[in-house]
Amino acid sequence: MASEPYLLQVNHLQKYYPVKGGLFRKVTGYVKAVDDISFAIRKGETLGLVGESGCGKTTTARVVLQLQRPTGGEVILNGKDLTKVSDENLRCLRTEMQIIFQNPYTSLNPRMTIGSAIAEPMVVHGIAHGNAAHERVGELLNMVGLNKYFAGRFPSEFSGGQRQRIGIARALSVNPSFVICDEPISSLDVSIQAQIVNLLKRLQGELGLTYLFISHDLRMVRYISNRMAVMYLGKIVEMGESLAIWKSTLHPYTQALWAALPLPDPELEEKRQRIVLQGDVPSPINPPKGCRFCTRCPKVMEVCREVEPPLRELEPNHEVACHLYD
Amino acid sequence: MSPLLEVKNLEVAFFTKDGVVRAVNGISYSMEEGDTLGIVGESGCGKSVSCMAMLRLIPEPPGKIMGGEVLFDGIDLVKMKRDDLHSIRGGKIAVIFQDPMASLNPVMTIGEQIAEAITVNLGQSHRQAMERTIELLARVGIPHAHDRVKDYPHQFSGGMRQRVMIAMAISCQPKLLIADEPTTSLDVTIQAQIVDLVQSLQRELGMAVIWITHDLGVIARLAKRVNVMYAGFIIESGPAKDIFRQPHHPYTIGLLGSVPKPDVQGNQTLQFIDGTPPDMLRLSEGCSFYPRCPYRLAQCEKERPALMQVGNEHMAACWNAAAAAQAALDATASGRA
Repeated sequence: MASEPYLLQVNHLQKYYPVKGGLFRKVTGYVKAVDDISFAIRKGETLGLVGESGCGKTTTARVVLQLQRPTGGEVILNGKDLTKVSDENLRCLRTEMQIIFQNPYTSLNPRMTIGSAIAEPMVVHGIAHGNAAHERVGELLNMVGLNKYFAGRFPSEFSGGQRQRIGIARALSVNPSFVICDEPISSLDVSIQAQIVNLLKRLQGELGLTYLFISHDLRMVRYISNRMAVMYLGKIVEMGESLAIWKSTLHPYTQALWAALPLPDPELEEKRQRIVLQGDVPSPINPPKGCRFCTRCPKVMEVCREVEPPLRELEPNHEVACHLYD
Repeated sequence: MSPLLEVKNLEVAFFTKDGVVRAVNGISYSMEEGDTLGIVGESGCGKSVSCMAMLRLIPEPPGKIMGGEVLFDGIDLVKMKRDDLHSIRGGKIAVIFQDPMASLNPVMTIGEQIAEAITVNLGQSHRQAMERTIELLARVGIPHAHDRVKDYPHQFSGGMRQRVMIAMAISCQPKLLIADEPTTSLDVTIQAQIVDLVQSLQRELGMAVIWITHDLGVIARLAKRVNVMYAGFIIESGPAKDIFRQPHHPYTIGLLGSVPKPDVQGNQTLQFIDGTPPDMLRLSEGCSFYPRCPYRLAQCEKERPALMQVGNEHMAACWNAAAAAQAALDATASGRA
């Protein structure tokens, strides 16, 4: 895997939203939803992006796909900087990058048969029409484990897991090389989650897809991704090989995330050391000075409240932003 | 000593325009004072409905309790008059729900809402109730409780709102707390805080807790006993340690296999349960898990298995439980090796 070239490179990506207040709706500050993050994904690899609500994971997805334009930074897909591509030209590039959404109940048009929903991107991009599109829909349905005769049915006739399969088929209809999975399993039942994750893994092998897999579920991210990045309040605090991060977790936030995750084993649970973080995630409008995690960190030091720690490589392929390792 | 709660053959159905949904199909269990019971299952398995029916909190019609008894402290809640139920609900039995924003009144301050529960249930004066409210909010870990009683629900974060709900629930010192997926909409670090809080309150107040969830991890952390539900039936029941160490029902085995284990090295493949849960409008006469079951026998299609003893206080409703349990043990052994 390490020899593969990078498919996607994200450099110093920023997305700020203005906060307006007062009589004349003047800009009084910014929500720094994504604040200077950089990562790269090799061809055929999965990068997992983990974090709690409001940490900027979904904003990252939207900005990478240019569904919203970033405030600053570069997004280089296949050698092209998407931030510099005009809206019109961007449309042609959309066939290379697709997204699978979190909620399969709201992301499908209820008035459209699933066949036409899956065919729509192909028609829009002029890839296939009429019979060819129809045949391709059948193939895609088979590929995601659904019967091809389902094409004439409406979304309401399907369960959550089946709808998520339809969403996957729609995303794959234009043969993308890069797919963002934005919490694709969090609205599904446990037994169905495993089906979908295994399907995504299988498709990756068959089609050579590259994934950015966004989730708050550390276990699933560790299971599906080669590498992962942990986000907190718009920043990446730890990034590296999934196995390495699990074996030697460096950042206190990642450690707390592991510890907070209940294991399905009562005997292990009893023996485990608990780290229960105090308080809530601070507001991104007014993030703490210094390290953003300093208000909740159990190992906080003087320096953490003053100086923001940079992300740096501590072990090969394992980066962390924390003063503990200075 | 008679148990605190005894549910016998509880049956609940919903009469919809498409037909009769048999949501709960004759479940029985009992709890002692101070017990912690976990009820696990996927959406639509009847875990919430069975508990809400116990408090007669399901909408009637379309819902109806078709039969069974719910003995709480020896009194049958199913036969009780609606007016008398007020003394039980919110008093001896308290509930916390999944979505705290939907269960709090948005135009009433937090303090007024909790104080209302105290004045109604314990008959205290408004001032006493307010003092008690501040104490309670401080106890559940809300900083500056003195000032925050004057705030409205939208001024609290999700985790803080759930703390408010817990404060309200324990305000009348209940004997039983029903927690209906209280952490599902919360982040993991906040979930850990809430689980810890409920555990410490339970030790302090000696109340029994029923924790309804689909998260096996949470159950492993706090429950002593577990009921696994599928399609309105309890399909496995027993001490938490036994169920996690040696699950006997193929559904429980599948459910445990669907969660990736962080301690397994390298490339593991996730097991999963094929297919989807059954249509509750058309439950078959055989085992409801039959179409998805990897261990099914011919008998399973026609005859529904009842709960059978498979270990000490450990029961499973499966004709082929022994074979399934052995296969699961072998699988874990080879996974660890």
